[in-house]
Amino acid sequence: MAEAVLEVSHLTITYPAGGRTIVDDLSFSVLAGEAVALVGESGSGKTTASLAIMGLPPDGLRKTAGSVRLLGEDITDLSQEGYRKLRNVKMGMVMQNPISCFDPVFSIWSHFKETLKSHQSVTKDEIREKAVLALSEAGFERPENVLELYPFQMSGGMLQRVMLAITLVLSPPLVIADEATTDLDVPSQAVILRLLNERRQERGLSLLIITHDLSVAAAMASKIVFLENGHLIEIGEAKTIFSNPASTGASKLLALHRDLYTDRYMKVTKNLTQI
Amino acid sequence: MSLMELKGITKSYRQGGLFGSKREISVLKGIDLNIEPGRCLGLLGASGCGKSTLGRLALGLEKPDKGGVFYKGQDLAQLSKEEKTLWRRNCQVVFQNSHGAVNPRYEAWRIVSEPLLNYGWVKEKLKPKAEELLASVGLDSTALFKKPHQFSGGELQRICVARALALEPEFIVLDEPVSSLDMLNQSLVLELLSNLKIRSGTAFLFISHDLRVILKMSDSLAVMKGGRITSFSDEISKLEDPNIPVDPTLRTLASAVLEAEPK
Repeated sequence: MAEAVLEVSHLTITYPAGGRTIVDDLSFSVLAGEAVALVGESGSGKTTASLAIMGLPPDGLRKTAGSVRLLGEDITDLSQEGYRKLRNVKMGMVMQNPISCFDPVFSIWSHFKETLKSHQSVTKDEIREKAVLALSEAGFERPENVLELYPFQMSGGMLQRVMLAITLVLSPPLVIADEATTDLDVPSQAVILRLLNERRQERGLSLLIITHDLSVAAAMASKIVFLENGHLIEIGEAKTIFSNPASTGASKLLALHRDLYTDRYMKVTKNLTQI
Repeated sequence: MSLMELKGITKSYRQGGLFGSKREISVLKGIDLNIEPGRCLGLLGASGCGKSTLGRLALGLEKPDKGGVFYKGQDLAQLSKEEKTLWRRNCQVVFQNSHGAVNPRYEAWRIVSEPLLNYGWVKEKLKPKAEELLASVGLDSTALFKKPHQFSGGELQRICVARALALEPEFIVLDEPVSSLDMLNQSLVLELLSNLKIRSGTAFLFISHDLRVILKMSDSLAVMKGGRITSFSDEISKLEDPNIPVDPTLRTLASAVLEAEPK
């Protein structure tokens, strides 16, 4: 059996002083080279869970029980300094809103420099070499030019590809993508997902994909973890859940998801894809 | 007769100027489009193709460089102030980002009744009407006195729809109204809009990059790329016919949509 890259067990997150429970007793694992989707509607606790895994619990919330293990190492109570050393090296993150992930006064080159310098001692030439390679792998035809640009000069889809390049530049074994394609248009979404999938197939990257969009889960994940109001309602093989959901929550979301694929859509796309 | 007509529209924006050199970016390069009463026209295109600019022009929020926007045959640029006020009442909008489209200090009742206030409603009638409007989008009376930060994105988007309905307009521009909503809210908002179209015969310009949503909602379809309309279907059902010629832009956009089931 493949080794677990990420192992979350009995994770519980609440507001302090006996407040509301946001995530209740969540357990799942991500194996090496596996893609797992954490699926749920807005407010189901999926982002809170992912932020806690990354060591970034939102203000006022705290982990009250459970543990998180990354590559066999317990990272539940790691210090912020400890997490800083992990991020981008062992665990990469791609967030929903790319614009807010970049410093608007720094060029893309500076962002690469910051990421690389905080983990390795590298020369300017090495940074350039690594950045250019990462950007070309992220589908940029002229990566040298991209390095000179500032965030405001790029579209959301381009910025998200740059974000992905920065995330992958140190080749972390795990990438957590929290609604990474939600704000993007359909063509940009396809590019990002294809890149992540290629990395997984070619280099055994493990993926934890947080999404409310079941088509993203269907395209990417072999395992699905369904959340509803902070509770895990269903976990299992993607194919099994899609064909035969056990919980009413998952069945309801699947029905809404399939509503989008109307007869008209199926007929029209069939015509369009015939050549 | 067309409700709204866009004729020979070109539009460019100026970029830079403060430090760098100014350059003109041409966003729309000759657009002709008709919006018929009571029908939903879908506008499909990738990011940056100019579809939102087109929506803003149809709303009179931008002025075209060339060409004109006509409301029932009258050029918007020629309307007097009074005529423009009257037109504006018949033409509303729902944007993608609901949090950016409402005043964060206003309670929900004031957000939805603001258009009414602008058109001379007496204050006493506002709250009962607001309650009715919020009920029509599935929100109960506890929502009346909440502020935007107390709502989820889906609830706030429904409030924006309620506000657009307040004056019973003839025409609503929907600029990616569901792209940032989760599935439950997406289906709620789409159903709300379909019922509205059937019940009150409102015309829509439905802007989206998602072919699935467009095919669910629209009666006719315009596909855009690089500031031009690459194909137009007056009856969207005609696209089901296997013998119609295929627009390559539409094919590209369709092939990027993810499949429903896992492989």
